[in-house]
Amino acid sequence: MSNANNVFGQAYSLTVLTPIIDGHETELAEYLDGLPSGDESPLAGVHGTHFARWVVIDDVIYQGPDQGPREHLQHPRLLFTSNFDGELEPYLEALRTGLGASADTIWGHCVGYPGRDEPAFSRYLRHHQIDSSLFFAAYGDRTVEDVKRSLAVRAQLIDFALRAQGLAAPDLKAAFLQEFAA
Amino acid sequence: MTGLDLDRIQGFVVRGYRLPLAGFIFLRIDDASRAAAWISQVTNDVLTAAPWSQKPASGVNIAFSYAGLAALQLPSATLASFPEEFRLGMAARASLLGDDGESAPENWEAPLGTQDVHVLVMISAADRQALNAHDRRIRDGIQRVGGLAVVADQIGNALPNNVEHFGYTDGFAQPEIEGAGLPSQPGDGAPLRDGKWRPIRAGEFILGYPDEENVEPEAPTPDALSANGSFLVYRKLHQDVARFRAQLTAAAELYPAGEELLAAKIVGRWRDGTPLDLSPEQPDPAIVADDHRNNAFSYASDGDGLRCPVGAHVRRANPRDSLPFEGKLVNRHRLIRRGIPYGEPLPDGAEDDKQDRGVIFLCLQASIARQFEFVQGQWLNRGNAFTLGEDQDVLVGPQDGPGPHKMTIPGNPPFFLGPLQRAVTVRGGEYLFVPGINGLEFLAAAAAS
Repeated sequence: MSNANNVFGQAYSLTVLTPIIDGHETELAEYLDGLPSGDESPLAGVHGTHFARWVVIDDVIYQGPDQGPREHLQHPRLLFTSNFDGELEPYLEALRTGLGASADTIWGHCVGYPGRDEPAFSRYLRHHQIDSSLFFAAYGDRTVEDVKRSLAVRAQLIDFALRAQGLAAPDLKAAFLQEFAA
Repeated sequence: MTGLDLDRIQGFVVRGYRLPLAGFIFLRIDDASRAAAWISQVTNDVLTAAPWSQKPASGVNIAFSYAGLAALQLPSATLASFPEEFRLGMAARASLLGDDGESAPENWEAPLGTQDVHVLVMISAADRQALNAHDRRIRDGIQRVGGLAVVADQIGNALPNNVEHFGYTDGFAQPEIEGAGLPSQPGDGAPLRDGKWRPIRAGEFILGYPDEENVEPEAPTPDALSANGSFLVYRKLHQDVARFRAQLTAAAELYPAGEELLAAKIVGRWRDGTPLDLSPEQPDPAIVADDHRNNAFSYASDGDGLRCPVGAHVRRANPRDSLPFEGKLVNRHRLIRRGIPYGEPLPDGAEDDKQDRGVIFLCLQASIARQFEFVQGQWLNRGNAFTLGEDQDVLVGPQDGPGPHKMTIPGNPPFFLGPLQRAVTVRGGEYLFVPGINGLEFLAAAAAS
């Protein structure tokens, strides 16, 4: 894999395409559908994740005018994509430890999944990694922690602006310093 | 230009009747073959989009929920061909629409949002007498045929001068539909680069005609059922007028330009309807009175929202050319609006009388998911598309999630309106299919067999 195709700023885009064991795609899709979001998501425990998802691809879809013979997938695939902070190797380790049993449930439906022992786990994902080529990271040069801190400042500032609106200049200054100068 | 089969499209899809009264009757189908007989009879009464020489005193239109189509015992393949959001219904889409708290489906007026709402009969009328006469005719017909039960009804009544309950004149902007043969008003269609406008392709609203992608929109099968049809959203929105006025008055104490400009900034139009973009300093009755001017604006020269705030209601609901690609994507998210207020107005300065008043929001489109749900869920309830962060629409945003809820009014200095409380509560709603005349005939035949 060349970093040029997978890195934007300090963000890395990991794309992994694994073959699903025939007949397992429905059960896998139902499990993924049932995963909680927000803080309860298994991805919440994987430090440095900007955005990640799993998608069951059961066929290649073509929309448009007929262009002759259509290609189809022989076997369904599981797509895993993640944009995260920093280097690939530490992130694969974060996936291994952070996802816990969810990793086994998900990739256990895929051909050849070796479980979470090292180095087999990270070797498996690297073996099925493909270049991302083109990806979008809204804040590629900022880490997840940076973004969360900035959002907290933004919320604090909005809250302050609402409270402080209409204050005379000296009072506004005093209130601002009290809120933000610490 | 694509010709529309106006004789086979229900009239309110193509044109607003501008009749001041509406009667909504919700029916449950208890017997499919009797319901078929009733559909067959009422089809002759349905007002179509055919041009009229004289405006009728009243007219009726009919729509069906998914539960209603299922109760007509259509073949399962036909039922399955309807879009997912329609099959699920509005109540099931509550989290996507922000219908939580007071607006949550468990707090809706029965039977809205349940499997008991099958058919909606909509009567529009010029006066009480005409409404009552038509209402009686419909109910007599139902009684005579049997197999149908009235489960709810609702009256809508326009307020003087076409205002809604918060005091804004409403109903200016409507998408101009290609081939409808109605007078063209600048600003209604799709924006072009040269500042002119063109009509929106009919397939954005009516099934069986090319849409903005130049293909026929996805439609249920067979074509005999779907062609000339449309999807309708019925949404009863209670307006807490006293709360809205109190929020506005309290905020205006800090807003140097005064309460009326603040009210205009929230909506993007002055209360009399003057677009802020055209007259940012004061209302201009001459603009309002001129159909060639009262909707003829874009946001091209106001990217920062100094005249019309980026978060103003009309700009969120129809961003025109202010989103990327010269607004081309906006053309895929337009709504035909046919709403009408209900309840009596709260007099100026009056205490909260706790009366039920608001608007029966109605909109028509080819895809409820792509049009109504997208506009409500992405543009009104979220700020992302406009880089407005967590800001929600002041009028119909749920003001839920992490606060404080505010609207930014750009200026030097900017003004922050908030913290906002929900002033509009959903009292119930339904997703409905509005068949063409051919579709009504199909339903009558299918359910009779």
